[in-house]
Order: sequence, then C-alpha cells, then structure tokens
Amino acid sequence: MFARLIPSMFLRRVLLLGGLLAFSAFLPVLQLIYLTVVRGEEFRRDAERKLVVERWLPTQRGRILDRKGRVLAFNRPSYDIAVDYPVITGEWARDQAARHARSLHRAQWSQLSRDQQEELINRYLPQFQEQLDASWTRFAFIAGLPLEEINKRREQIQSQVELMAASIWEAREQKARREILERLERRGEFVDEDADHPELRAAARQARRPIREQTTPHVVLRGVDDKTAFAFAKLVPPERGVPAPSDADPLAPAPMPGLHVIDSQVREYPFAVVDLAIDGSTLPANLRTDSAIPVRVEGVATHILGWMRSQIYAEDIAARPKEIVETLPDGAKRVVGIDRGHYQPGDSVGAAGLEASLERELRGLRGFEVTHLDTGEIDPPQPPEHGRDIPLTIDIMLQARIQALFDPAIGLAVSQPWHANHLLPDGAVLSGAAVVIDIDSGDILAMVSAPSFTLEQLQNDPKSVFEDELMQPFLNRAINRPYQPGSVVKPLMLVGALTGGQLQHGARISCTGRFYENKPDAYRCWIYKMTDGAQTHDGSLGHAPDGAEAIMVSCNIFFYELGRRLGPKGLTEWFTKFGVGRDAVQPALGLGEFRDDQGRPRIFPGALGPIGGYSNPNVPSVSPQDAVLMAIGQGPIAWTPLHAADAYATLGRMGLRIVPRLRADEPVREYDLGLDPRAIDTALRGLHGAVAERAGTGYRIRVEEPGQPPRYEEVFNAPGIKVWGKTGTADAAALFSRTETDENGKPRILRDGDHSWTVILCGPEDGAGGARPRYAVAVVVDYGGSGGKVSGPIANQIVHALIAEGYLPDFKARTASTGAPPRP
Amino acid sequence: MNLETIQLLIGRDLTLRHFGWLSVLAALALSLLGIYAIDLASAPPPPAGSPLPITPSGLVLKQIIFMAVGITAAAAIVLPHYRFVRFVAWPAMWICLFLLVFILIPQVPTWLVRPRNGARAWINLGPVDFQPAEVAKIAFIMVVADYLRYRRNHRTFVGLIPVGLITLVPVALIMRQPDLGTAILFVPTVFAMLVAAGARLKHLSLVVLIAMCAAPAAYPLLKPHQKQRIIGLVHVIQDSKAGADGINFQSLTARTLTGAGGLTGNPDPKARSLVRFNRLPEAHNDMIYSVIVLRFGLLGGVAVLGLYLLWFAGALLTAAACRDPFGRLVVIGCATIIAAQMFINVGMNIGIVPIIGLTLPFVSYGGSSMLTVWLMTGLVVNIATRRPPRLARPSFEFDDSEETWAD
Repeated sequence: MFARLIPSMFLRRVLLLGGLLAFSAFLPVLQLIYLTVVRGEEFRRDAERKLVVERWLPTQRGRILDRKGRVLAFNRPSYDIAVDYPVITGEWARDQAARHARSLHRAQWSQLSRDQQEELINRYLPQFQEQLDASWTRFAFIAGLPLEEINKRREQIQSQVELMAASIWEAREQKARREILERLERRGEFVDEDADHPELRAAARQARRPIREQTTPHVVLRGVDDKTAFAFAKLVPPERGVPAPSDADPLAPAPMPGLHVIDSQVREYPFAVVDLAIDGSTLPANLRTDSAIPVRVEGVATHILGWMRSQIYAEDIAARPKEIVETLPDGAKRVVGIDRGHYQPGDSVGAAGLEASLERELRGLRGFEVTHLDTGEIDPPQPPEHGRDIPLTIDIMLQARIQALFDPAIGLAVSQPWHANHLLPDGAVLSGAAVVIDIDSGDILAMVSAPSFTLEQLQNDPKSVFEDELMQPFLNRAINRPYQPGSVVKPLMLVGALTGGQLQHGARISCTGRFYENKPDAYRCWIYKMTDGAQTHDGSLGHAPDGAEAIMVSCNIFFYELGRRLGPKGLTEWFTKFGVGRDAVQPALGLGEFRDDQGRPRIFPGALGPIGGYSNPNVPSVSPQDAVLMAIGQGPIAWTPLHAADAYATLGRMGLRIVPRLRADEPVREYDLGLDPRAIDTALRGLHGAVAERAGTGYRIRVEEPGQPPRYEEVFNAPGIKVWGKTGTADAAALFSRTETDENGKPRILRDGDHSWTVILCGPEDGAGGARPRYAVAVVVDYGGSGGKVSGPIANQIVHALIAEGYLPDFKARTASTGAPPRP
Repeated sequence: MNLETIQLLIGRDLTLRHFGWLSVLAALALSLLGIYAIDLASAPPPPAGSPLPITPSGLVLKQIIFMAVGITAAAAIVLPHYRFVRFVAWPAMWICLFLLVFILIPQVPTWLVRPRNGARAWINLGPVDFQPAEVAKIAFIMVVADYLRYRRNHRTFVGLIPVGLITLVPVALIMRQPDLGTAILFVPTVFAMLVAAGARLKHLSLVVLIAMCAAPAAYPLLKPHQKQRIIGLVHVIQDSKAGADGINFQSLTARTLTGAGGLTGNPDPKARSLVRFNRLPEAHNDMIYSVIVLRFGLLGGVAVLGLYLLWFAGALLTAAACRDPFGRLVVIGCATIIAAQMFINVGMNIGIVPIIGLTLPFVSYGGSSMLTVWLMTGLVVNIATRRPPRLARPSFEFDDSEETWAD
C-alpha cells in the first residue's frame, strides 16, 4: 500500500527513518514530563536543599525545682569532644591514602590489579598515618591526658562498635537469608540453607555494609570545660564553603580530621545526697538517744526525679521525629515544619522518672540559623527556647528527712524486739514507703520509697539496683507497688456505710469473735484469733462497739458486717470514689505518663476486684464473700501509700477530694464526694481514739528490755500536735525469689507475713483541745508485721520531721524557751 | 588554479534554495545555546545586585573559538563537490585506522598520547588535543556510503557481512581505548545507512534479534565500572538512593536538576547556584542537557529536542531531494550518528540510559566534537547545494514487490 502511495523505495525508507527519529524523541519527552512536572516539586526541593546550610544553636534543658524553689535538677554547661569513627580506628589514614593514590593515577587505576593498587596505597600510607598520629598526640596534649589513656578509649569505642556491628550484621544476614529462602520457595526452588546460592552470597555481602555507628562521630572526652573546648575548637576542620577559624593564622596547627566539639550539658542533682542530723530524743525504746544522729541520705528523690541517658535510641527518635508531618484529607503526607526539639547525635534524653515523662517540656527547642550559600546571606536566626522549669510540690528537705528515717542507722526500719515479728530475725533491714500530703492544697510534700539508690550506684553497680530481689531499690514503693491495705480502709468503709445509710448513726454491731458461726476458723476478729477465742471486743469494751469504737479497736466483725451490708457493688463504689481501682490518681500528678526505671510507662497499681463491666470473662467477679473481706482491706483489693494518704486527706477535708498534685504548676482539681459530715466526724473520733486512747491499736508499744520490767511507750509523742490515725496489719502474699530455690526445688521465700501500715492525719492543737487536720501521712513497711508497732513510730517521726521543717509548730522549743505551757 | 579548475572543483548546478539551511539554522541555534549553557554551568553567580559578569569563564571563550573553527571548517567542506570528498574517503579511513592503532600502542609516550579518564583516546597536538575517533566517524560514513552505492548485494543476507566487517574494525579499535560510547554510535549508523540503501528489513531485523540474544552473553565481558554503571542505572530507575555518594552521584544529581527545572525553568542566577552547589559532575559537557532543562524547564528541553528534529528534518529532506546515492547515504549517516549521540546523551541526563560518556552534539563543550558535527553539517549543505544530476540508474530503488511492510 505504501508502495503505491510513495513509489520511491528510498523515500519510503527515508520516511521510515524519519518516523523512527520522531518516535524516538517521544520517549525522552515523556520522561522529561515525568521529571519536571510530575516530580518537579520534589526535585526542586532536593536541589534547593543544597543551597542552604542549617546550623543548630544549642538550648538549655529546664530545671526541676522543689516547692521552696530549691533546684533539684539542672544542667551544668559543658562540652563533649567527639571524633569520627574512621579517625578513631585509624582507618582514615588508609582511606586517605587510597583516595590520594586513585587521584594521582586515575588514568590507569581501573587497569591495575588489586595487588598493584594495594602497593600504591601503601606507598602513600605513611604520610597520612603520620598526620593521624600527630593529630592524636596533640589531642591527648590538649586534653591533659596521657596518650595511652586516649588510645585506650579509642580501643574501647572500637570494640564496642565492632561488637554492635557483628550482632547487627548477623541479624541482618539472618533476616535477608530468611526472606530469600522464602522467596525461592515460593518460586518453587527449594534451596538448602547452607547451599552456596548466589543470592545468599549477595545477601551476606549486602548485610555487611557499615552500620550507622561506623560512620558517625563518637565522644572521646566528655564534660570538658570552656578552656579545653576552646582549644579543641581551633582544630576543628572547616565546613565546606565556610572559612576555617585558623585560616587567617598561617602558624595555626593543622586541623584534626573528623573532630567535633559538641555543646553538651551535664545534668546535676544537687540534693541527691543530703547530710542530716536526726534528733534521737523522740525515738522509741532502745533507739532513743539524747544526741543528734548524723545520717548521710543517699539517693534523695531518685525515684521521683529519675535520670538521663546519653544514648539516643530509635524509639526516642521515632517519638519525636525531625520533620512535622501533617496528613492531608486525601491521605497524602506533607512536611509542614521541623521540630526544633528533635534529637541529634550526642543528645541526652530522660530515661526514668520525671526526666523521662516530662522530657518534652524539659527538653527545650534548639535555635536555628540558616546560611544561604548562593547569596551568602544569613537569615535572622531563630533563637533557642530553653526548656521549661518544672516546680514540684515536694519539699526536698522533708523528703530527705523522711528517707533518713528508713536508714538502718536510725533503726526504725530494722527489725526490733518490740516489733514482735517472729518471722524476721532481729536486725533485718526493712523496706517501705511514706507519702505526705498537704490537706488544704492536695500537694504531695514528700513521696519516699526506701531503699533508694544513687546514680553512681546505677552506673557502677547496676546489679545492686536491679537484681537485689529482696530490697528491690529500683522500685518506687510509694506509687508503683500494690499493697494489701488491711485495716486502714476501715474508716473509709464506716464513712461510706453511714453516708449511704447501711449503718445508722450511733448503731452498734456486736463483735462475737467470728463472723460465720459455722466457720470458726475463718473471718475472725483479730482479738479473737490472738487470744485463741478467749476474747471479743464486746468483752474488752464491755459493750458492742459503735462506729468510732470499732475504728479505735479495729474490730473486724464490725466491718465484716459493713462489708456484707454494702455488698460488692457498694464497696466498689466507695473505693472508687476514694480513688482506688482506676487511674484517677495518676494523670492528676501532672506527669502525663509516669515511667518506671526501665522507661516503661506505668499506671498506678490500685486494683479492685472486677465487678462486672470488666471485659475479661476469665476473671471472676467479686463475690459477697470477697466484699466481706474487702471491708477490712483484704481480698481482691490493692492500693499504694499514695492512695492511702489521698483517701485520708479527703476525710480530713470533710469529703472534698482534691486530686493530689506533684507538679505545682498543674491546676487544682477538686470534687466533693458528698460524704455525711456526721459520718466523717464519727470516723475522726475513732481515728483519734485509735492513737490517743489506751484501747486504741495505735496508742502504745510494749518495750521489753533484758533485766527490766516491760514498759509501754506512746507511739505519738509530738507535743501540741493532734493525731488521728489508723494502723493496719495486712496479710500479704509471700515474696518469692525468682532465682533461688529451697531444698524442695520450690522458689525460695524471701519474706512473708504482714505489711505494717499506719496512716494518720495531724494538725496543731488550738489550745481548746480542738484541731484541724493539716497533713495526711501514710507509711507502710514491707513485711514489717504489726501496724502500730512498726510503721507507727515511723509515722511519729514524720510528724517530728514536719515540725523540723516548719510545717507544724514546735511546741517543745516554745515550752523550753518560755517555760510556759504549750500554746498554739 | 584558474577559474575553470575552480568551477570543476566546485561543480555546476548549484542552488541556494535547499533544505540544508534548516540544519544550519538548527546547528547555529544549538551552538549558541550551548555557549550560554556552558557559561551557566561553569561560572559562579554574580554577587547579588551586581550586573552579569562581563568576563565569561575560560571555557566559554574556548567554546566560541571551537564554534568558529567548526563553522569555518564546515564552510570549507561545502566548497568542493562531494564527489571529491568521496575520493578522500578511503584514504582518510586508512589514516584514521592507523591513528586508532597508533594510540593504542602502549609504547607511545604519554606526552603524545595523554590518557584521560582512563582512556587512551587523544593525541596531544600542543594547544589542542585531537581525537582520531571523531574523524573516524566521518571517514566511516563516507566509506560505507561509497561501498553501498550502486551495489545490490546488500540486499542479501550474506551481502551484509562485508558491511559488518567494515564496521567491526573501527568499532573494535575504538572499544579498546576504551571508549564504549563512541564505538556504539557506529552500529545504528550503519543500520540506518543499510535501511536507506535498501537492505531487506527482514535481514536487518534478524541481525537485531541475534544481537539482542547475544547481549546478555556480552555482559560478563564488560569492565567492572561499566557493569556498575548499568547497575547504577537500575537503581536510578528504581528510585533508590543506593550509590548516591558514589557511582550514581552523577545520574541522580543530573536527574534532580533536570526535574528541578519544572515547566519553565529557573532564573539565571538561581540556575547557576543550583548547578554549583549541587556539584553536578561534567556539567559543561556530558550533563549540559540537565543544565539547559534546569534553566529553561520542560519547555526548554523540548525546544532543544525540537531543534535537533529540525536538523534531522533538514538532513532527511536533503537526502530525499538528492538523487546521488553517495550523497544520500552520507546525509543519512551523518543524521543518524548525530541522532544516536543526542538520544544517548539526553537519555543519560534524564536517567533512562547508563552514564556512557557521550557529549551532546553542538551544545557540549569540546573542540573535536564541535568540529565533527559542524563538518557533518557542512557535508549536508554540500550535498544539498548540488542540484540532483541525471543518473544512469536510480539509486536505491529496488523492486519491493516481494517485500511488503507486513514482512
């Protein structure tokens, strides 16, 4: 057909060629359109990125302050000196020699054999090696350290990185092998794992590409001062296009390759160690001494403040990526800005406690300076924003004093004969916790967990912190350890029942010693059990106890009955109102997410048995039997000392719950529980009786010294301070070792018995015998035994600590100085 | 030399109304564009606020000289009738072959044959360097054109073999330099000339098929850096950033800058800065097309392609109008070799061809290249100027009755 249209063959052929040409031009045009139009914006951004040099200006991390403005954590400015990895290992010299050789002999390079290339590289190696060695010698000189020390550090870094590389390569290779084998399988090729398949070989090679740490700088000197840093700064090699600082001076030393001076900060905790003197004259029994007892308290508020980590993990970077991306309605993502708080190599990040959970606020934002390479202009820099200072409600000196009370030097947290705990040998060191809440404001004045630990200990001997199964120093017992409450919940139950009408005001319930007639060995009152059935409270009081008396003597039967009347639903409702069983306490601390020592987010473990509405069908609901037990703080219920102090503070406020605060800059959240004021009155009467009346469980301890008749001492002995309190002896699950076994092959029991609880309210007397509760104090001693005997005296000392720090008036001093009777 | 001799040399039957002007126009436009683009690629942007630099970079001055030399040479080659040019075809080829062998001899001192970028391709003639491969291109075209004119046996499959041999010798020599880029230009050229000369499309297709099947077998024969380039291209196409710091830097940067041109390009100072700070390698020769697209955008890039198509149009129309077989084939050959080089270079710049090291005709910096392409333009004009003679037999008109497009 073409032949007829165009008779000339040549012309047809020319047309064919012409057509091919035109058609061939089509493809490049398509690709051009793809590049310039479809992806043009992206490429333009990429190209323009090279026109600017961004420089980050350092910022300052926020401080943490206590309620009196004392600085608990701050950054001391300092510098780190980092060097690129190839310069640390010395590989740099070889790289440079190779590059030099290649550029000099570029023409023949590809024709040369490996050996010839090697030979050429070795020819130029010495001069670069010399340069490198000279650089390191100078490095050591400026650092003021012997060269051997510097070389030792280099070796350390190298072996660390190589170790990391080996394991990462291994992991990569395994993963790649798996994927390849799977892929081959799907294609129908079944290859033996060890076979020499080219793809597997290629994967092995590919897996050994350098890891990030082999290309980044590593810190060789940490925390150098200004002068040293300045001397190092003169040796930093110039950035491309930016003139070197030593360019002007021909005599200046040659720059050291790969050297970086990094602005860093050292986080200091001035109150981590506090030296105190505790007045020994108010201590009980054998511990009492007229002189002041010096105590060095180590690790004050470590659990609260936490600490920093100098290594950035992938999770940190992922949690705060450099680019702020917004998702458009159609699902596409768009970069809208740079987060100036993002993490860069050499940064520190909060690892635990407040440092971790408040990381975002403490961190601050870096400043930003953009230099345009094409115009030479420098944009007005965006100044850095310092991190926020966080004020806490904690009084650090009070915290230190309370922590001192747990020190074995004082003896209160050491098993004593008058503890009457037969499960513990005398002299065993006890662990525990204490929380102090200011009733009027809801501020947490102190939150102590003993034993604590210092950051030095954490760094030098982490095993002693994390693997001590008995003392568990890392555990923040004040908020992170669930305890059975025991009898201390009784006032709450009373108030609940009176408010709800399950109990009439003034009504009495008879204590028969055992709750179920047909179960003589269970659900007994403690007095019945202790006297082997000889005594009941009806007997000891002479009549059936009413609400206040039941609290005073801690009658179980009374509260079993309340538990029965309230039922599972009623009980749960009241506990929940007081803050147990949901994390109503946790967000209120203003911490957002509280992290434990491992950086894991934790909620406060206050647990209630489930009562319907819980999604796990495998967990049985709370039964009426359980409810009976829960009314005396046993059974499916657990809480923390913080819950305890908070609940009692609510009582002290006549039913107004203020959610406890740890951060002083958080808003105050309060709500009224609608409690019957008469009920609270009754409860407070009972609580006062428990510590002030002879029949009260927290009134006195019995001291027996060899060769002396037994005597009694009052637990609470601060003059002019009225105390309302409840003791509790909570039957606890045993503490099992996870590593040791006993002779039967079962896990060894490390501790067993009862937790000792004392929760009090205290306030100065007003001269007419009345007083208003001002502070709520909750103390628990793990496996300590009897509430009044073990944690009671500690609670008493906390009252004295409050006096010492000025929160309660010191009537003793006034009496001593004026000689007059105590007056408010 | 009297008037008669001159007339004999130049020939009668001249015309100034011919299609060769299209090619000249296109060549001029491309050359001038090239000069501007070279300045863009090699001179830093002026400081803000000051007028454009008065002294262009050294490369620009040289390129202007190259262009002048090229145009002069083109003008020179227009004068003698192309049949005289045909007489020098074979001698020129032999000399080129000799030179190609010469520069490969390892004993030749480096002051004479200075290796550049690992290839022994240039002879040092003092102020300039001379590349025998470039001249070999023209000689080759003329030799093949001379061989094929009035011949029939290339219509048979066996008859293609002599042509293949004529091609093989210079290609092999050039590949030994090594200069793969220049060498592979010969192949489409000889193909196009065979197509134009009337070889059967069936046979040519068969040869292409055999070559395609043999290509994978040739892969192991490639040098390592050549293999790396191919792998690099695969990465670029896959859009991975692998090798971004090494072997692929050139491809990826060229692609980025090409794309950054957008639809209409960037203003002059911006374009200069972008080229400079993105550190595009070979910005003034191999990658000059990226620079042009960066400056003038998609429209500019398409316009450049259009200018080339204009050049080819001029050549093809000249070929159609010319009756003489030698003339026809020379024009086709010149057009094809320039087209092949252009497409490969553009392909390199936009990321569909691995980096081979071919420059953009008329535009890239380079004296030898400029001379060659202007000479080819001159040849086209030469052939276009001569009115078609009355021929004894028609050229390349074969009976195609046994051959249809459907074959």
